[in-house]
Amino acid sequence: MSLKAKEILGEDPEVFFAESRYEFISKILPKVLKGEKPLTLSDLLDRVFLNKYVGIPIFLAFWWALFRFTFDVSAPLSDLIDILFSWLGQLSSSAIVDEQLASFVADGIFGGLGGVLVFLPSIFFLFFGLSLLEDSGYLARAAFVVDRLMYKLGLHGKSFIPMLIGFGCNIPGVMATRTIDREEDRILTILINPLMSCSARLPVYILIGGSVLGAYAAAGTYAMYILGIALAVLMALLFRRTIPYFKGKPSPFILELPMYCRPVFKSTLIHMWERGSLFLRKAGTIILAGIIVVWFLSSYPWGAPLEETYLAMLGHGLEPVFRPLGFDWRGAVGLFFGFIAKEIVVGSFAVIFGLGEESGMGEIQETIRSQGVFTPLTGLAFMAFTLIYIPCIATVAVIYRETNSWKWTLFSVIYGLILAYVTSLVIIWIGQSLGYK
Amino acid sequence: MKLNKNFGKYMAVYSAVLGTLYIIVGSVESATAFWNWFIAPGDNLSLLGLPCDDLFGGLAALIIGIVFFGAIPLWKARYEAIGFVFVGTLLSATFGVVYLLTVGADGFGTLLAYLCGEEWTWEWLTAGTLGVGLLRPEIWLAFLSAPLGYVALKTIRRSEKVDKATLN
Repeated sequence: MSLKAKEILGEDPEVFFAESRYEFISKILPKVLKGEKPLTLSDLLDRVFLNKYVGIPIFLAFWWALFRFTFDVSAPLSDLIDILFSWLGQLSSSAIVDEQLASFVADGIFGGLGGVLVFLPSIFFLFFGLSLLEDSGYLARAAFVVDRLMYKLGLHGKSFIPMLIGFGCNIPGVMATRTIDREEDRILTILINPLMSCSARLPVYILIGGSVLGAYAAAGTYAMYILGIALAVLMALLFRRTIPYFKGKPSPFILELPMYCRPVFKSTLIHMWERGSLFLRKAGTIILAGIIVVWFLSSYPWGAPLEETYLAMLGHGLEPVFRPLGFDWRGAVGLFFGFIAKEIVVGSFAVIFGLGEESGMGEIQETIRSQGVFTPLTGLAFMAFTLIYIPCIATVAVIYRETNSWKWTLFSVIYGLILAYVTSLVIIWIGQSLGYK
Repeated sequence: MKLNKNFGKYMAVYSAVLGTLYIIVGSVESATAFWNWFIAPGDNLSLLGLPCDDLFGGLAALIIGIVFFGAIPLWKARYEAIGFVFVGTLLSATFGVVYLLTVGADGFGTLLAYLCGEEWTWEWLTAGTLGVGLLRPEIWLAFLSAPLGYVALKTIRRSEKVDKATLN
């Protein structure tokens, strides 16, 4: 239908109808209105927010404010959750007599869930900020401002919002692609969305960066965000040019800008809850199950030293694949469980080093340094691998649900793994050729 | 909408002053952070007592300064430029609030640590996540820009009322 309409009209039907509508409006207006159209607050704001010079910088400034709000303001609430779960863990291990059951409840359930739920405040804060921007009418302007840039990169203007949300969590990021009408543009956006560095990867960057990059830790973390964006752009261009399904230009971006309005606190909270509760559900199901599996593999055969546990066996089995990247069995295990959810990686390292799930970040970092698990170069490659390969099993499930295709779901997993491996290998090669180990 | 010439001049000057202050703060913050991140890591170079490791915070301050400078045409009573005043104030308030909340969060974190047995300290007021706590200039610049934003909003609302009355 759409193709036939395009043939008849000679252009995209959406563009045709929008142009006709506004042509009609501009013919009527001078007949019913005299003098100049008065400038409203919305018009004045649009002159600045949509300005071709300052529009994008203003958006970047708001984005940075949102990030600071997300990570800095929520930090003590994360500490509170951490304290609560550590206390629950200690309480259960002292109250339960049976050693195995006590370890299961304290390390497996409370330790594991606590390790994941510490990210809950950050995620809710991020969605609160995004809802504020959306409800005020600004987010639609931001999409409009970046459309020109996105179009040049082979993406649709509406791809921007799912990509932005992907920085919080890839699940709602993938789901947000529903706003893109054309199927090809939507699937392309879904495929590159996992390259947006979600908040669950941040603890891994902080852990590894803080361990081996020293004063460059912050720059290393920042580099991961930039690398993710750069790879997403490169992949979009590559897919657009090489995969026949995506060939051609993105469909035009037509958007009726909503009026600016003062956000209503209650509805902003509702929006935040709708999006954030997804993470809560994930924590209670997939992540909890994953943590219990890690606990089981690292605790059995019961009483055996770590090197003889099932976890070590699994790690040694995977080690040859990751050897060229400089990761030993411990790195391999971290990445393996990161496939279930990135939140598990930090907890996995704690278990591997025999520190217990509730151990602090500083303790794990110190162990990574002292045991020489990573060098600065392999640490950077590990961070890049964590960034690029599929974010978590729940994202894979959502990709399947949104594409309704095993073909695209498998493609996203496989290309992610290959890209992660190749990028990490390139980092190692470049580093080694510059004299780093 | 015609703007009173003197009123426009006052607003333009106020915006230019704010813009200059933001540009100075932003330039120093981003330049020192760039130095400390990429050129001489570990140097911890700090100028004028401003934070020395917040590259993006510095760039954001620079952007706010540039937006305030966009209001200069108000000098010639060009009403359209009032949008720059309003957006500049909005950005300034956003960062002011976020930084104040960050200081508050640092305080809450210190309280939690105190309840867990650590010693109480007031460092969160002058150091903490922001590096300089409440001394972060963007917090005070937000207070300084608030009256300008209020005046701009009132002017816009008055103008809308006048336009509505004229249309009717």
